[in-house]
Amino acid sequence: MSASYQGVLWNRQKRIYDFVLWSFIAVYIALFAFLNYRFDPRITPETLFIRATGTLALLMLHVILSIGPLARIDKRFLILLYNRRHLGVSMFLVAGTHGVFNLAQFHSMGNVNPFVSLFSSNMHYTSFINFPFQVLGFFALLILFMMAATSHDFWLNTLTPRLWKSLHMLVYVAYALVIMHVVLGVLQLEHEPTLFGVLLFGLTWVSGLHLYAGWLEGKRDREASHTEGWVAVGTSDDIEDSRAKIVFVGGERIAVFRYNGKLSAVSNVCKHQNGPLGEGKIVDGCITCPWHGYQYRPEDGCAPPPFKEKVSTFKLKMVNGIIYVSPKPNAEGQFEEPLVIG
Amino acid sequence: MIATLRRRHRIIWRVLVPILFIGAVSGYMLAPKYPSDQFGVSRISYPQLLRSVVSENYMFDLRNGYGGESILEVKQISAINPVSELVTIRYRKASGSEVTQELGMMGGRKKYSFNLKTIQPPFSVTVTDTIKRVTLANIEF
Ligand code: FES
Repeated sequence: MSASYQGVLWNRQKRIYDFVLWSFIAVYIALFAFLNYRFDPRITPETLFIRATGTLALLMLHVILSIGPLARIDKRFLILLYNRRHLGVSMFLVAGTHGVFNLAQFHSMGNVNPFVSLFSSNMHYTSFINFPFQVLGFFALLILFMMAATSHDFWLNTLTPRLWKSLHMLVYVAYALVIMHVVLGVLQLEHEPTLFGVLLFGLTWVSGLHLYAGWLEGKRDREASHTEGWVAVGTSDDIEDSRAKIVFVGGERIAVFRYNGKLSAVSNVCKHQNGPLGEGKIVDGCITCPWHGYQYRPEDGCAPPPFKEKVSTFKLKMVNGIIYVSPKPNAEGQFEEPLVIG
Repeated sequence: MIATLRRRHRIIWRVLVPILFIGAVSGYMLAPKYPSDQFGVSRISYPQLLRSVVSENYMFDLRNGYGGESILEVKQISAINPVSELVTIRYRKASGSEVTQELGMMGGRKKYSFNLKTIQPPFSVTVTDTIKRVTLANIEF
């Protein structure tokens, strides 16, 4: 909900996060170099650096892809979502270094343009096992570059959240390309069972998490889609003051907030990046998104001026002490009289 | 996340998971099994040089090992940077039949030694880039 954009939104917490992250990157590369030289002193520094950055980027990509489903499975992981973009951009920088070193070492010493060499040095495009694996890595890097370049909120607003999200979901394609880049690359040259075991473990972990989170949400959505008419939320005592209870209605989620002896219901989906508003709280009279702090007034779902974001509101009623919410959303930003609970 | 996105995620992963597992497992199973040379000779030197042959990119030294075995030392002497270097030997057995045997990959190192055991000249040695499918050297001893 920024009125203007700053180059990068850093605060103290993010600075600490970046410091820890880049310290980890430095330690990983140093440790990788140390262990490799110890066990295989014949390895050249270029090969070593290519391997260190390649394995590190792969590890970071696995971590990044685990955060989303973990946060959907258990709310305690939500905190990890906050800095995922910094982690993503850092991962791209590491992967980019791997790509540039590869290009320099294997494709820049001939008399053809390195990019021409990358695409033409191995022409087995119709073969599975001999497929030019470096090309797969190149396209994965291209996707990661597009994601890193558009990671700022300016692009989120310029491209619209829908397009932006679709673009950023290409990370799954990048992941698939990276896995095959490793399988058809280093695993062909070094038929190492340990290496393959580690890769398979990572793949099982990431896909297991995504499948489980998807199954869990699908189940909730199916249960919710059976509800028709007004949906029971519970009693007002079920909701902590300045907090919300999330209800599933027709496949969508509604956040019912309690504040100053009143109740208001809004869509659970933040306009910024679809963050879960119902997991945030009321700060200065406004619902505050837990992901990046966008704010909305509970009565009309509008962001306070000068901001312009709006979410839908919902009608509420109370029968015999039980709160009910209407499954039909009001127009975005439409005022809805709060339900007074005394 | 909104319902459409949740559904899109579910579909993507249901499609991606079988493809990735099949791709990864078959890629590993179908990988060519080049002999991995466990012959750790990097810190051992074999003083008895029998013969040297030089090609454009490599120098091949045939040496005598301490147990009387033949050692083939392959050194890269040019600035080429092949992704993979598979060293193959072709020789004639006592029975007269010709044998082509893969000795191993050089693994990006500039110098590598292979234990030829009882194989003696005449034989030919080839270095191939298995990724680009080009012959980097082909010499006769
Ligand atoms: S998703 Fe970013 S503030 Fe809500």
